[in-house]
Amino acid sequence: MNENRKNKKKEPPKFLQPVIDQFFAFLDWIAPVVDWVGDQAERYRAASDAVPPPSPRWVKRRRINSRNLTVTLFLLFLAVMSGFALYLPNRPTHSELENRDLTPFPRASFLRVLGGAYFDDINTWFADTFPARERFLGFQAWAEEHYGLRGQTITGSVVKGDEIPDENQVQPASASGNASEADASASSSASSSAAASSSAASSAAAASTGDASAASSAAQSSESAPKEEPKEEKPAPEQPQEKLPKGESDSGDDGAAAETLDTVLIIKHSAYEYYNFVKELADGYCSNLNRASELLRGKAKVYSMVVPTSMDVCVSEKVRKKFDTSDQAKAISYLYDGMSEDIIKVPLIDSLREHQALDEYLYFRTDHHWTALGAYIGYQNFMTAAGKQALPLSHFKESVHEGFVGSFYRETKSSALASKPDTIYAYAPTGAKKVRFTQTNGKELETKIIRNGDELSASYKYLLFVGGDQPFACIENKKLTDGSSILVVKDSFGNCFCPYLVDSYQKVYMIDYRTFRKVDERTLAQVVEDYGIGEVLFLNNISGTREQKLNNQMNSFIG
Amino acid sequence: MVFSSLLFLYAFFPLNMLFYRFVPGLRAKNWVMLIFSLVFYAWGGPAYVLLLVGMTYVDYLCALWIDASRRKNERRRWLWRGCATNLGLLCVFKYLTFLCQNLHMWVGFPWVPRIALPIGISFYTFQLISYMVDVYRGQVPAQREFKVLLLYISLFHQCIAGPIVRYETIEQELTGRKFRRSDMAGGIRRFTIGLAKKALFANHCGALADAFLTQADAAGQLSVMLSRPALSIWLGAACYTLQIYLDFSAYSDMAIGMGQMIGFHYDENFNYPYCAVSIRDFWRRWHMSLSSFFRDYVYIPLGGSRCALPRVIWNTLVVWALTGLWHGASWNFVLWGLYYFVILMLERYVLRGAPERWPRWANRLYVLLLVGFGWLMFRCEDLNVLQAAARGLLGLNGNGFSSYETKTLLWSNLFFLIAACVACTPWLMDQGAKLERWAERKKGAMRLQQVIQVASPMVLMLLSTAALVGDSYNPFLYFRF
Repeated sequence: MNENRKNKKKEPPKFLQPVIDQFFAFLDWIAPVVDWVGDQAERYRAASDAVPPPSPRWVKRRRINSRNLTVTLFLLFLAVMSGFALYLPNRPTHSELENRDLTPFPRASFLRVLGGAYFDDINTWFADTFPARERFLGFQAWAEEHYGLRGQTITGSVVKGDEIPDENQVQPASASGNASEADASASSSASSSAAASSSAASSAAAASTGDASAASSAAQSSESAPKEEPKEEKPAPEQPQEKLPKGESDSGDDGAAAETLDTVLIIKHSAYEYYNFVKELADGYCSNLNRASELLRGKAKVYSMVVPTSMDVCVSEKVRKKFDTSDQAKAISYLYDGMSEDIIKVPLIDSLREHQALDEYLYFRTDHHWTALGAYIGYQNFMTAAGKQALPLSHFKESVHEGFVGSFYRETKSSALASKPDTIYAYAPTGAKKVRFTQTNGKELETKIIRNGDELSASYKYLLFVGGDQPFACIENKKLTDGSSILVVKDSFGNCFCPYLVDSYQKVYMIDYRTFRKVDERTLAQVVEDYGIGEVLFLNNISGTREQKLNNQMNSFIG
Repeated sequence: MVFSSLLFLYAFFPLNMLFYRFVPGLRAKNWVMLIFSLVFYAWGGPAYVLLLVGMTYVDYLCALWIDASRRKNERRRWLWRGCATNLGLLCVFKYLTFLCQNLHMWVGFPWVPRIALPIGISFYTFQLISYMVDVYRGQVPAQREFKVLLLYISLFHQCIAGPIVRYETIEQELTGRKFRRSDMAGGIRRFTIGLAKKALFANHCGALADAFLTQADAAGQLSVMLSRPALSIWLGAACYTLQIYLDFSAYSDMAIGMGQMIGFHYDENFNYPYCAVSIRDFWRRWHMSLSSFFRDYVYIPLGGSRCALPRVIWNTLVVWALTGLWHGASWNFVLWGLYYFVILMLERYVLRGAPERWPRWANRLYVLLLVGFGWLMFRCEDLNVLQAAARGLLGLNGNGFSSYETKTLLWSNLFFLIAACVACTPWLMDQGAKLERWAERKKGAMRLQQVIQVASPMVLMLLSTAALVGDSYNPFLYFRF
């Protein structure tokens, strides 16, 4: 019985028999191939295991020859290269590619020598002024562009923003006139309040991150920033901002000014900066402005204009959706929502997008600022909001400055950006020629509203507008006598905007809130009172609304 | 100074070779090496040269006394004195700050000093200890000439970032080495390969790891880590894994190569660790000079594996806690050491060496996953960041699997990453060996091999120079230890 079962088990079912036969036939058929492969493997194994036969004499001789040649040629090569590297007149002192002066040979001091810092400086000098460095750099940049498949690169680390609430919960106390509306919005978004409060915790952490990475990039950019001494009659170029005193108010953090770029995306020849919305800081920006409007109630009209960056204007929405960058249109409307009714908000992003659709040159490709043309659209919208007539662009005197390779290039050193510099089109008002300003060192100077720009290095040409980022500046239009005056509280985005105002206001005051308190004790209300200012415009780019340090500086300026 | 700085490559090293070549006699050549080594060391802070020379001098005397003493007790006493001096100074310079910080945190200890770590102190202290112990054990005679011992300790090839060369290994060569052209050619090849590994691969891998994870030392990495999608953390860990091997083995390659050029033969420090088949195997292939140091001077003196099981486990625990702590005065390094302790114990007593018998792909994967995660622990000095990274690996931070940014970075570095992976395997060396065998039979192949042999050092050097000229990201990782 048992045997029988065994036999049965061994025999496959009948219907499978042809298949199995076929299979064995197939095996027989391919047997020679399998054998051949096996033989090859065996031979290969035998060959690799076998002790190599003694090399013939010609092989030995050749080996010795090539060994000697290796040694001789390499030493010769090393000698030539070192001679080349050590021959001092060979060393460059200025980099055209990077638009900066190269590190000079360090000066010795007892402590720096003893601590070893002096020797580090020598290392840096040696590497930084290496002969033919431009060629080496060019080659390396070319090589790195072939490390992968896509022509897009990202520098810096991307930090995700908070979720932007649909409606702003922070209703200003001064919005007394519109209590019912506030109630409505509060009730409608009650469900979202839980989410908002939960994200607040993480936003605090995100805030410190943004600061930290900004600080590190600030440190980098300060290394590469040219250290030009202030010259007579010419304003000092923008100094690296991280030298500012520690935050004047509560949290003395190590953040840097908005000019430093966190994360940069390069697509073809254009770069864009990432923007991460941070709810807590956005709320802080709103409450700062609300307080300002309260302090100025009855004294001056307050306007706010938040300028988007190129990411949300120049990149089509379809593409942008894929990035980890927060929606700026939504963020701006959140900000505007959070401001009191007294503040007149200047809508901007939609008209910028409309003009972008016509392929106008609104933002630089190699720099994070808007162009003067972009600023003109800002000017039009501002004038509309202020109930005034905007002057046509043809009214202003155009000048062209070529060869601008701005902050994005400084940050990324991308050859794709360097190979296609920007052109600055500047528009000068007719009513005044000069701007008077106070530098960060307290000196008062005067310069042209639109400078020639030739004395500025190619990477800092944006400073040709209104003397650059100065703590305090004023332009007086002597052709007007109506006593009108406006104060623009701005960051560097205001520089190319303010010249348009000159022909509509007798006096245009500009305050860079980041540095003003360093040279002046006065707060916003005092400034407004002292000069009898009728209108105050807060003009900031959106990156200025997500940094604790900037909020602190604004807070301290408003007083 | 670091080997991958242009100043070293085109000023220090050529000058060193020049003097070395044209000075007559080995004694004079040794003087050249000694002076250059001290200058090299002084480059990172001249004050610490005194520490180096002082420690060497103390140990020089101790070794002489050990040698001169007949009684075992006395010999032991001198050994302890020497070791206590070394370890005491190591603790002061490397661990005091850490200790006080912890005391400050737990019991409110009022004083936290700020002590800068002297470069290479971990490495040369270990060399000194190995020297004294070997003298004590009678394996080598004590060195009579101070300058020879100082040359051994301060020799710039290995003084500041390993490999930990035993005195035994180069004792003969310190005073009686020969120059061979074959050594010179081999050394040149080794040196340039190391340089290329560092300049072409390791630096860029490091930049990528920063981009995928977070800037290594930035404050507030936590929230960045929390916002990373899973793929980004996986890739970041992979890049860091590549970086740390390429970086450190590059340094060893350059050290071994430079030694070889002038007739020193240091032991190998790496043997393709990422091709290991188990974690035990990995540690036989990774930083071999350090693991063999711990084996010979800690593990075996404690009793090694020839004790009762609890004692063996204790011995292993001590070794791994020390290994972790040696890598840095921070809790994550201790954790990292203990992580390997646990894995090795599991491998030994639970799996009983099973991974080595698994199919090739399975044990490779096993090793790479565990080692990669180990490097993540190594990198994140803040334990909260580490936790975030670990959760992120599993996709528990709610950022999805991938993002546009991750993909862009990956695609724009795809070829590079493949090449870097290949650089961690013996594949290229195998091809070289194959070509060599082929060349014995075909004259054309011989010509090809000759061209490659002669041209590759120069080509690699030029490419590395190009990479180093504009590179701000350069220090060797193991400099911190």
